This record gives sequence, C-alpha cells and structure tokens, in this order.
Amino acid sequence: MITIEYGLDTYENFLKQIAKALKLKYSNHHIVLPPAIGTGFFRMLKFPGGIECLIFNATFQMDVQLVQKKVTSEHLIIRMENDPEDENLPDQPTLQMNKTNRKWIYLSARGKQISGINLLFQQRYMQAYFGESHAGHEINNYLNLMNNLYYTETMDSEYKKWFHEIFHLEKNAFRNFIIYNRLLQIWERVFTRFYKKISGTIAYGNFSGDDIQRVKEAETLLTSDFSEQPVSLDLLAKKAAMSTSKFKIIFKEIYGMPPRRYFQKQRMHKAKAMLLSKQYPVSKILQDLGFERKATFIALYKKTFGEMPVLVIT
Amino acid sequence: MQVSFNDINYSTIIAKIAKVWGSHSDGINFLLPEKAGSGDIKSWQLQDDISVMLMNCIFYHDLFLYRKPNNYQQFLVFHFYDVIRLDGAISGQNVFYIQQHALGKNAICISNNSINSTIHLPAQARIAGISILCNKNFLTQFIDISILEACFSNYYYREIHEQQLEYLDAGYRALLYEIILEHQHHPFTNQFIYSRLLLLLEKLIINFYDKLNAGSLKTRMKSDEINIMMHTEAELLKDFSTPTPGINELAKMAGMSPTKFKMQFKNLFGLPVYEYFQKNRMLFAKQLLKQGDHTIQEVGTAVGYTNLGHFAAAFKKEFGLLPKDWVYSENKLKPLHPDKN
Repeated sequence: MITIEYGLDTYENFLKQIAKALKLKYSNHHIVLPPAIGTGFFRMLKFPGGIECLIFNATFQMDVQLVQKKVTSEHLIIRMENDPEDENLPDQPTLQMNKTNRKWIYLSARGKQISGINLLFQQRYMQAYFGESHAGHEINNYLNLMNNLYYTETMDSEYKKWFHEIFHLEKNAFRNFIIYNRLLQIWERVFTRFYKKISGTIAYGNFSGDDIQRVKEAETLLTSDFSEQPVSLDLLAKKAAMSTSKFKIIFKEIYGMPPRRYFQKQRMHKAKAMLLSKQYPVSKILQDLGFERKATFIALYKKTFGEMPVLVIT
Repeated sequence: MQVSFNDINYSTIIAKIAKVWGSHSDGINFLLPEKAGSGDIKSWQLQDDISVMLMNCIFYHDLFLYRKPNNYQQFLVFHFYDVIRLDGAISGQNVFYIQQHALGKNAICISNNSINSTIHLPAQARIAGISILCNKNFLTQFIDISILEACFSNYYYREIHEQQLEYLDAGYRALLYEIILEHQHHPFTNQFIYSRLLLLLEKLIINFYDKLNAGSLKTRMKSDEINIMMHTEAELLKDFSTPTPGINELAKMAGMSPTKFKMQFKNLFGLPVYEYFQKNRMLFAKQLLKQGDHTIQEVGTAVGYTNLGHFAAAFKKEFGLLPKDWVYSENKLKPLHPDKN
C-alpha cells in the first residue's frame, strides 16, 4: 500500500505531489503511469477565474491511498467519479461537492480502474459569477455557515451527457473551449439545484405553473422602477389575479422574502451595480432609485451590505 | 433613426439609443417609450470583460446602429438577431451591413471594434437578438490564435462579398430564445447568460470552421437561394403537431429539384432534412416538458405523435431517457431543510 498525502490548493501542486511520491515525470500538466505502477493518466486544465479541472482514468498495480490534508484556503470541489457509462460499476454514479478544508481519503484498490472529472474553484471566485443576485448571496451565506459541506446528487442524464462529452472528447482545436463550456453547464446545474434545495423553492410545487408565472410577472412590475414608491401589494396581487394573501405566500416561496423587503433589497443591489459601474454621479443614482436624502441612502446601503458605499464624485 | 458610437460597453450604447427618442436610460434596462415601439433593451456586464445587449422589441421606425472604429484593444463583436417582419414578408430585408455591404436576412454577424459596421433594425418587425462584445484575448485563452484568425478573416471576407455565412437556424434560435425569455427567472442571471452565450459562440466558431475545412463553403449559394432555404426551414419547423411537408413538397416550395434541395439543406444546416426535423422536434418536446405545464401525453400530441409509445421511444433515442424518467429526474429535488424559516 502506498499512501500519498497532499494538500489541495491547485491541481498543479496535486499532480506534482503525486509525481514526486511515485517518482514520475510531471510535465505539461500531465502524468502518465508507467507499466510498473499501472496504466492510465491524470491531466489538469486551467481556465479563467482560476477554475481548474482534473480528468483522470487510471488503474494502479497496487493499493494506493490518497489522503487529502486539510488546507486553510477556501476551495470547493465538485467531483464526478467513475465514468457513468462503465457498466462494470454497480452503483449509480454520483456527483459530490465539498470544501477542501476537510480531510478526504480516497482508496484506489489494486487493479481497479478509477476515473473521473473534478472541478476545483475558489469560493471567492463564485461571487464574480453569481453577480449581485439574491440567490448568490444566499448560497454564499450558506457555504460560510456550513463548515462541513457535503453535498451529493445522483448524476442524471444531463450530467452524464456532459461527462461523456468531456471525457471522450478527441483532441481537436476547440477542445479546451468545449470543456470549459461543459464545465460551466455542470457548475450552473449543480448550483441551481443546490440553491433550490437550500432555499426550498421547490416547495412551491403546490401552486400551479400559471400562478407562479403571474407572480413572476408581478415581480417584474415591482422592480421595473425604483424611482417611485413601490407598487402596492394589493395592486400587485390584482395584476397576478389572486388574493393578496395568496400572492404574499407564493411571492415569499419564490423569492424568499416578502415583496416590500425584496423591493428594498433589489433597489440596493441596483444601487451597488450603478456605483460599481463608475458611470453615474451620486445625484443620478439617488434620483433613479427614489432617494430624497443622501443620508438615508448611505444608511440603508450600510445596513444592506455592511459597508459604506464608494461614492463617485463628479 | 440612427445612433453612432464606438463604445466597448453596451450600457453606454443603450444610453445613446435612448437619447434618440429624448429618453434617459441607466444603460441597464431601457423600456421603449410608447412613441418608439414596444419591448425593451438590456445590457449586462459579465465576467471576463464581456458586455452583452439583449433586445426583445418592436420599433415603429427603422433604427440604424453605426459602429465607428476606435483604437482600444481588440474587441470582437457578435450579433445574433432573429428578425420577423410583422407583415409576413420574408426576403429582401437586410439586417446587417459591414462596410456598407449588405448581408442576407438573419445572418449571424461577426465584426470588431476597428472597422465600421452597421446594424439595421427594421420597423414593424419582431426583433429578438443578442449582441456580444468580448476581448479577443478571452477567446485566445482557449483557441489557438491562428485558428481564430482564419475563422474571422474568412468570415469578414464572406460578409463583404455576400457569400454564404452562418444563419440563425433552429439550434441558434433555441439558445437565443432561451436567453431572452428565461434569463429573468433564473436564480443566477449573469451566469445563465454567460454560459449560454459561450454556447452560441462555440456553435458559431466550430460550425464555421468545420465547413471551412470540409470545403462545403466552396459550392456557392446565391443570396436569394439562402433566403429561400431559410424560409423552407421555417416552414419545416413551423408546427410539429400537423403532418410535415415531405421533401418533394419542400423542394417545390424552394423551387428546386429534390436532389438539389437535399444537398443544399445539408450544406446549410449540417444535417439531412429528416434528421434535422426530428432533432428539433425532440428539442421542442423537451422544452415543453421543462416548462412543466403539460403532461407527457399533451407534449407527445403537440409534437405530432398519436402513439405515445413512439414518442417515448423517439425521445429516448435523442436524449437517452424516457420522457417520464427525464421529468422525474428534473423534479425530484426535495428541500434539504424543509423546516427552514
């Protein structure tokens, strides 16, 4: 039995550590196992935003134990292990997500083929990709709270399709572009489902699709203009053709908070987006978002984001 | 109506468009005023310096968007526009010009910030489109620069000389309308738009590069022949619930022999007629199922199957799963914390 310990911050270091432990050559983001050790390969790919991808398909001649040590940096890994099309594998393939701050042991038994696609990225990176969305904040908060994150789901046909496309892609001029695009699809699906699970929005299955659609339309109306007072709840409910109380319930199911609070939150997020774009003077932002006094705006901004707005002076 | 600009950010371009009608826009969302038309224009600043403009509207006056050259770092511009004339006319409406040369209808346009280009958005037409501005360096991270150069310089050449390009066929339209119609309802709007616009670019670049290499672009198709083919393609996919026109009928519609029609169809859309039809029929069925408002039986009928078993088998052939299994895997999410709140 060979035990290889490593701390996972980048797959480059991971591969270097493996190469060192097995006395192999590491070059070009790639390790190929020699017959004495086994067959197969490990390969990593780097993408914008610091996303890294590890693709592996290997069989060792001996038992190998991979021990991932705790590291302090906050990374997340999405693991899809075992080629779902390999019929020799009895279990349903699963997809897992966890943080690198916990210990992880992976045993590769002698003569057993291991294969998979892993995705490594920083939690910080997600902020850029989620934008200032409500869902993004909720996920971030959740991830910060959950130190021992362990999320898993069965790989369904969509995941299997993307896995296949990445895993069996022949070398061609567009290989990296295609892989990046598939990884983004996987990433998006994982987080969309993850979000649905943690926010429980799937519970609104009790309401008809029409009801939900109409509430969503009312939401568009609510957030269409921030310079005026928000549209009244009664009017919104009327637009959605339902009673005020029913509207309130469905709205909260979908957006996770009552309409008025949601309006405020969206208003402040828009303010932040406008500030960050550095294209609007403060007076314009105040006017567009319906603030009469700057002090009110600053106070509300601080309350929402916990920091003072960076004001653009013109 | 006309607007000139050389910006590399759609939020400032939208503000300029709004000014044409004396309106103000924050550049993030511009709701057309009543005198201008209906619908809206939006912009998003996405990661990796990508700026996009989404348009879903009808104008009362023709609108010309003139891009003037500038000397910033090199940016690429992509336009995917579906323009449907409300009066039903199909041909003769040119949407894009590069350096004053007209292209065929609903061609995909590639341009950059160092040359003049024009978008003509006709009045009284339903316009759904996306414009993408991205730094060239973004794509060279993935794709060898010589391959990109070969693609784009060939594409520019073909635009100027009015030769066959890539057209907004059903595959592009599905992605385009997914972005336009669903982005608001997705929890991660930015990410949603970003990942799908990359799929549009992937499809465009790879399709064009493959055609370039396979030499299938060498057989010259005339501009009006392409218009006719786009028209018959629309006819083919117009309504899945009624019996589809056969190849002979379609060829007659296009005014050519069945042999020539089949050849040109494959040349332009990459698949034989029936395969193309079937693929899009199944994609449409999947889209309907995804909406969640219809039963499997309703969807099967909507795409023209009287025998549900046949529908299920065809669906499985395309996506590897029976419709009921697919619906199940889409819906089986359960809350992790049902007692939250």
